[in-house]
Amino acid sequence: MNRLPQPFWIGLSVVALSIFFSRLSPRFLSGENIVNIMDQSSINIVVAVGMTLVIASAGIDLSAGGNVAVCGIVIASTIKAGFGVVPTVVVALLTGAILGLLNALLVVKLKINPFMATLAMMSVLGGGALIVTQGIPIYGFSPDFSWIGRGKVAGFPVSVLVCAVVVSAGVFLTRFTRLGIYVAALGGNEEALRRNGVSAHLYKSALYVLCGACAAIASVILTSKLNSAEPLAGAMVEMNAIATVVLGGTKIRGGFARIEGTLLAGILMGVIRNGLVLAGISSYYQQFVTGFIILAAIIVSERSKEEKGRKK
Amino acid sequence: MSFRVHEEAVLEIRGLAKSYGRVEVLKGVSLSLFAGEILALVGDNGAGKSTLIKCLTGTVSPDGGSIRLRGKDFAPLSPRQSIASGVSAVYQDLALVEELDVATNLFLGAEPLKLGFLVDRARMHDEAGRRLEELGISLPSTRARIADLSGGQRQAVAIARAVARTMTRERGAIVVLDEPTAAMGVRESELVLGIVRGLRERGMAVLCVSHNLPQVFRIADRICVLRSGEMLWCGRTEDISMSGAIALISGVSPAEREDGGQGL
Repeated sequence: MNRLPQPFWIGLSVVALSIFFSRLSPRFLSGENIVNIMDQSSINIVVAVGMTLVIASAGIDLSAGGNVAVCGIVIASTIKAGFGVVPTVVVALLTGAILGLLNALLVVKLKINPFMATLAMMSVLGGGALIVTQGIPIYGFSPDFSWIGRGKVAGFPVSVLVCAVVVSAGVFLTRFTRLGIYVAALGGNEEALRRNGVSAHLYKSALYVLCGACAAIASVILTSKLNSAEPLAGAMVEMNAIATVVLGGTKIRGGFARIEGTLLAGILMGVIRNGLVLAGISSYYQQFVTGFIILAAIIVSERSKEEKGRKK
Repeated sequence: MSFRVHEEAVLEIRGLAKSYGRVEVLKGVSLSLFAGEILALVGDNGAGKSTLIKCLTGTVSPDGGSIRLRGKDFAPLSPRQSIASGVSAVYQDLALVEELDVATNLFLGAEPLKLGFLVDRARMHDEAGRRLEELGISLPSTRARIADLSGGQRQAVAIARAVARTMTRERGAIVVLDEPTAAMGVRESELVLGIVRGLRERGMAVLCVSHNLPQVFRIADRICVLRSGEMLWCGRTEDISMSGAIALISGVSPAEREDGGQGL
């Protein structure tokens, strides 16, 4: 039974849970609610796509949530300074990418373990966001900017479309470019990459930059949805993203980047959250249930690996 | 050292010296390598074999002596430079990525592209299949993951990659093998030895480091014995006996040594 790839089981779980929740609440499977689930999942999925790349390379980015918070403040300041939506988004993306580059420098140049480097950055960015804002959210943006988080194109929320673009880009990068091969090689055998004349440092840095850019995109959606920049908005963002990545079948110790799995896992997490709310169950259970699902996913993927090992 | 006097050596090492701090690892080692031969470099642990190889592949720079490659001075500063000059090595750890398939590993760092940025997987698999076939290597598929291959098959992939890298100047290309059959069963070893012989037939120069003397005596055209950083003996395989070689390697002279090593 473990022959089937993890994304298959995630997809199956989505279907099974959807049937279960539709029993509890008939509204669950309405078109409106399905769009709602995708809309709610978009932020987590966007962060998780970047995280997938970093984790597949045997790294991690714990600072993604801090990055989201800092980008939110940058977005608010840029809009308040009178800039339009496009320049604001560009500035946000640059901020996210630069913060990613900072992580990359810590990991690649100073050779700090990615967990510790990004843990420190998480604290620096999260604390920085609180210091700058004095803990007070920044309110009141133009309606133009709200369109990103609340607008629709052809019936689809803009956030879902942005998410679709990010996921497609992730799939494209991992399947069709050298980066996809080198992500897996970084996760599997970095030395092999170096011996074959590939700049492992360059590609590793690129992954952290991309992850930072994803956090920035998520921050744009989030800030627009909330219509405010919240210094605490990034809380748990990185943890949810990491959980989504692992649930999606990308190994925490590195290897293949399974972007499709990340997408399905992100939808699964959205289904659980939404279903529990519609069923009138306290949202506190969401985190609780999600934890068990992640455990189950890890047990399944580790066991399938063991079995393969025995076969040899 | 009258081996093929009429032919110029592809590789000429003269008086190569290297020290790590106070420890002299290579004390003026000389060696010639010809196209179309398998030269086995034998010696005990710490004899300096690895350092010698590293000098050739650009990971260690020697303190003294000279290396001439096809008549030109050769001082590679990186593995990349060394590969570009037609010297490619397969180390014991093989440097393969287990998660990736055979073709991707063969082309790692040199993937064929289309439109300048898309990895041309179809071409990669085609060429990988062709190259493996040329070397007489049969694998389940170029799409098989390295993790699912046996030790011998992995070694075969690593050798094929080293050969592919030096393909441009095939005649006289140098392939350095570090313990190619270490920890392998009989059948697996035969597979690898067959591939190594194939390299010789293609006119390549193979420098093979090995501890496995029975195998060395079966495949090597010449044998060179290193001990404590000195080249004790270099000559044709038929001019030395196994026990003679063991005596040279270990430094312990057995009573019944059949002396074939005129080089002494």
